Amino acid sequence: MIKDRGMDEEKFTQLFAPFRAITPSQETLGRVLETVTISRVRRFSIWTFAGIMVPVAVFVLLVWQGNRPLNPTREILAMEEESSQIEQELILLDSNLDNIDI
Amino acid sequence: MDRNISDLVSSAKAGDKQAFGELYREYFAPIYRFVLFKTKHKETAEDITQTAFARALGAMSNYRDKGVPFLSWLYTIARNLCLDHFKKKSDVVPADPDIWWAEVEGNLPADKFSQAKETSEALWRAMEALSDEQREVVVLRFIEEKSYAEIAQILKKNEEALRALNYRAMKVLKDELGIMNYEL
Repeated sequence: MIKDRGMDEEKFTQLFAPFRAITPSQETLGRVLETVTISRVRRFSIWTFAGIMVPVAVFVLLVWQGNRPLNPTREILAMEEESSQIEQELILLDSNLDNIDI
Repeated sequence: MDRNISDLVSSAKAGDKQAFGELYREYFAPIYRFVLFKTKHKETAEDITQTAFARALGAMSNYRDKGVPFLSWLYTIARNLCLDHFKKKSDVVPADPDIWWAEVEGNLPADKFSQAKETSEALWRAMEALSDEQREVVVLRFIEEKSYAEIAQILKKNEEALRALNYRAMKVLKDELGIMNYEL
């Protein structure tokens, strides 16, 4: 007799024994394992994709708005070039004014 | 075996898919049987068992062995999924037992199969008279051969209440089998 079981329980345990033979087919077992694994892979892929795409999207947005924090030197050089052009235009304007005979 | 299972659980927690596969092969059948007797529908039982393992895989890192065995944790997940299923769908047509008996045929010796089939069909019909709670206890006690302490962990009930529940379930089964002229 199985420990912790009375006579009636023992009889029922024997009577129910054929139900213990109910197992899903190997085909079902394999298909389900595949599905479980795939769902894990899919979830991993989605998070990986999101992890890569979100920083890329933020970077593209910043560059698109003209905000280039990765290369400030280029920005300063461009400003310097622009200011020297303005300076030359002012000198030219000044010399033109000198030539005007009032 | 327990040592092996606890090693497998630790490895699976650390992300070892092969270890989880081993746990899956070890525990798929009992969880499937438990769900099958709750839903009485082969395809639904397969779907719920599959979802239970997918949930378990997703939540492996959260599993803490605080005196609750891994199998009990799986039963709890499967049981909650069954409850969710019945909230959404209460009109599932029970499957013909012949469909899943075809799977049993290969697992039993040929000479024992026809007698086992007759007995089990009588029991299957008798179990229709049980409440959901009684059926859960009967499946865990007589089919899965769990102790009352283990059943108490799975169903979150105290052992005395389970003994009383099982006593009443056995009485119902005896009466039903008596009506069918089936002697114990």
